[in-house]
Order: sequence, then structure tokens, then C-alpha cells
Amino acid sequence: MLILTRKAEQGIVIDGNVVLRVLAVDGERVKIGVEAPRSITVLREELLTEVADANQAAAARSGDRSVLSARLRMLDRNST
Amino acid sequence: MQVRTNFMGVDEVLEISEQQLFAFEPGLGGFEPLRRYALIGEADSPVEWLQSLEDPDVSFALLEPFLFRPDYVFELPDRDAEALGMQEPADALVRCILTLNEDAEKITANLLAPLVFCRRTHLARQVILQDPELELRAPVFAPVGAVRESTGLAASA
Repeated sequence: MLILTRKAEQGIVIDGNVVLRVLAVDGERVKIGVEAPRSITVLREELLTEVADANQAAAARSGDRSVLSARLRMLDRNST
Repeated sequence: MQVRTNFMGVDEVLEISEQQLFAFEPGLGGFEPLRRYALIGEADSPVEWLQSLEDPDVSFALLEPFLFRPDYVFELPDRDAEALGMQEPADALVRCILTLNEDAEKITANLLAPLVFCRRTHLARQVILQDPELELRAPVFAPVGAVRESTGLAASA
């Protein structure tokens, strides 16, 4: 991992087209500006972790299908 | 081709067609190494299953979100549409991952990060939407007695 020290208003350029800039530092909070092409996805890391956790919780287990089939048939009936 | 699955019991083999195969690039969060999946429908229910071709133990129950949330809407970011090779809206197939539970009222769907499949290219991805209104765990069935139209479908015994 590359570790850099930056002061407020200083930035980091990644691969020529992504700029991370420290906008302000206030105690434990750091405000960061991200300039990136629209093709780059920028997400808070914890959101990715939450989705990954949700996916792992959702992964079906053996027998889930039979437990659920009656419920899902009911859903089908209600929607038609 | 044949795919091994554990979702119907232990080590079953299903016959699937090329049309059912989709590649996730990148892989699903939490399952990054797995890229190839089969989308498997059921004759008698609206649920579909996403079965990993690389790991028989990994499958997900999917549901079309509009079935229980008719007002569900999101804008697919251009970068995702491009990465999937979408050319027209009809190319897109949208499904939400269900988290199953024996108690129907606890069954939830992930509306925050839907799966988008491109029928044209057979590429797919989980799109994480930046909309604070969308829930990671949205109830699919409304509690008994609740109004169906506004909160989902009524669950009954």
C-alpha cells in the first residue's frame, strides 16, 4: 500500500484522470473531493461491504427452495 | 450443457441452455471469484435462481422487483449500461436478490443493489444505486392485514 501525507487542498492524481483532493480536515473528519471520469465508479467502501454482506446472507442453502415454493406460488397468485 | 447445483437438494444436475448463461464482470460482492452463472426459472412460481457454474453451493433466489414494488424505478448509470453492452431498454432484465426466511414476513429483497442482465450480450452486474430511499432489505410480503397495494403483497398462512 502506498501511503502519502497530504495537507488540506493538496491532491493525488491516479492514472492521469482521477484526482483525490483533501478539501478540509476537521478533527476525525476529512472531506475529500473526487474528480473522475463518468466511467469510474466511486462508492463509499462501507456500502460495498454492506452489499457483499447482504449477498452472503442471501446465498441460498440446500432446501431453501422447498421451504419457499409454497410462499412463492402464493406471490404468483396474488400478482395475477 | 449441464450444471451442478445444491439448491434443490444435494448435488443435482440440471440441463441448461446457452441462453441461460450470464457472465458477471465484476463478480458479485462477497463472491468475487465466481463469474459464470445460469439463470434458472421455475414453471410454477415467479422466483428464478441464479446458480454459479463454478460452485454448486452458491445460488441466489431472484425476483422481479416490479412484482411486489410496482413503483420501483432507478436510472442505470451510463457506465453500467455501456459495460453491459446495452443498446436499448428491452435488452435489460432486472432482478433483485432475495434473502429467504421460513417466516414469509422476513423475506427481503435487495432493492439498493439490483442485478441487471443484458439479454443481448449475456453480461450481467450488480448495480449499487446511490439512492438513500432504496432499501438493502425490503420486505417482500406485507404483514397480514396490511394494504397490499402500498406495502407489497399480503402474506397469509
